[in-house]
Amino acid sequence: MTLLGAGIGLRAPHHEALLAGPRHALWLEAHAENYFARGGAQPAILERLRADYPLALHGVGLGLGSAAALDLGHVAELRRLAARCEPVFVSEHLCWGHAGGTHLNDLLPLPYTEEALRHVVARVDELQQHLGRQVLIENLSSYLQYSHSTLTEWEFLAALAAQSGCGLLLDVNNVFVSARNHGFDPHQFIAALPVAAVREIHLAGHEVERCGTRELRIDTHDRAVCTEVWALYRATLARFGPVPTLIEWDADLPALEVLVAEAAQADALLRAQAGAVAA
Amino acid sequence: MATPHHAHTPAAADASPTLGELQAQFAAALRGADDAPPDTRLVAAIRDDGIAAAERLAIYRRNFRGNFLKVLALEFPVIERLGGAAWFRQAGLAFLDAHPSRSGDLHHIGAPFAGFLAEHLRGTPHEYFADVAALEWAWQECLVAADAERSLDVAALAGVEAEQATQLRFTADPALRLLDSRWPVFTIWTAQRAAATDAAAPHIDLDAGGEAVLLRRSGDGAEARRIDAATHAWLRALLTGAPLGAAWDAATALDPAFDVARALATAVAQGAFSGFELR
Repeated sequence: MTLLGAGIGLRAPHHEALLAGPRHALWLEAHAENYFARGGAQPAILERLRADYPLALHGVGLGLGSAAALDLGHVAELRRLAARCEPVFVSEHLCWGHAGGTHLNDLLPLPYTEEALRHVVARVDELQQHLGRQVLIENLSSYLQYSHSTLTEWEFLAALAAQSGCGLLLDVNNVFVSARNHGFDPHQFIAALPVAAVREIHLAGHEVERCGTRELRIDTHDRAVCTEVWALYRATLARFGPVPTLIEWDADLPALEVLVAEAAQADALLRAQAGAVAA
Repeated sequence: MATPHHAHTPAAADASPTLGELQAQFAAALRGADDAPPDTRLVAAIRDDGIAAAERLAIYRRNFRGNFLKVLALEFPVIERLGGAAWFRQAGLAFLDAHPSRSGDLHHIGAPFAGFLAEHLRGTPHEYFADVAALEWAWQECLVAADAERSLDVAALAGVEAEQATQLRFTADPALRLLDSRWPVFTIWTAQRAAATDAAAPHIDLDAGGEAVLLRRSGDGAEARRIDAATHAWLRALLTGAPLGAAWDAATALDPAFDVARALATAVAQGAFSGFELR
């Protein structure tokens, strides 16, 4: 197999450095909504970058699990962008985001029920039909659980992949954050996902917040990947093989070189894993 | 292990909210007043697990507000400077309450901001903020508007017979924006943008008279320039589909010495039009 290796999330403050600097051995993932503009600099920059880098599109705004109707205008924008930049992956989140015509513009957790599963399977199916391709669905970091959930998050994701044919974008940081927040074993999450479905991995940094006597981990994407998440990532690669891996950084964004160096760390682990698979 | 794997009795399932109910209650909790307790049905649907439901929801409330305010500040940096960070946050939250996002793409939230400020600041010394906000939003629209599908055929335009010229109608470049104000908005906006972030902008006499502004695409960005009232009236008429003769009349009503040939040459040189027709 050709190894896509490690990539970084494309953020506007790095546009110039990427366009002007040396070509890095990376792939890039753009937040789709940041490039929905019909003209001007942003889509033009994406066109230029995709000449040098494999590109993935990561949607953050569809809220696929929302009970309200799928926003077909938003889907059409995503389809238009995907048709133009031929991404290696198109992904979205296992979340909801709008109700009663109001968009909350956040990745909100779903209850893991049979009702929600049927709903999300139908939505993912609808999205895949509109886009004419497989989409990858990413697990969230969450700060609450619902008492009426009857499935675990990993059972839900596995069933979603099996029933909709979607791939999974496994965010290892999110697994770790949710595991700590909700007291489950992150390795159990990893072990439950079907190997063939996991097509992409995300890594990012998070923050630990005090909440009375308890601590809560918040998915801030504002720092380097922590040691425990690197360890969980190694275990993840051991199960899934060298799955293309993306470093995400959104707030307190450092210089491009810092992200490139972190991606290189992931890349070394991916290549070691690929070697182990080949041997 | 704290995973939600308990058997569900039919009675318990009946008490569980549907996906739609849960999301409506969750959205209301994010949007409600600071002192409004979340819906008791929502609280019952969230596992306590050592951290109260209200505290868990507060994390999502913080993200919901923070994401909105962050984008609003990126779109209206001059308004934030004019009003100060504390005022801007307060005004932004009142705006969020009155005009929540209607799209999964947060970039659209700023569209009603100028109108909101006009309504809320009417009769106050800060009434002019509304027109400055309109200028900032026009700037944002100019940055993301579609690229023109074709460029003006200047040679064909030059070949139009003089006696037919009054019948010329122009198609505006999609990125072109015009606005006028009874305040010196261009001077205010320019001074605030030019001032260092930690320095106060120079004092501007609000009674110095109104200004009109033309915004257009320039390279990768946008460009704003002040235009006189007659040129504004002329361009406004052309942009609303009037023929050159009627637009010329609108301009000479304000300035009898209005030089239409010069105005046309300037507008063409600035890329204001992407096409013309004679009818």
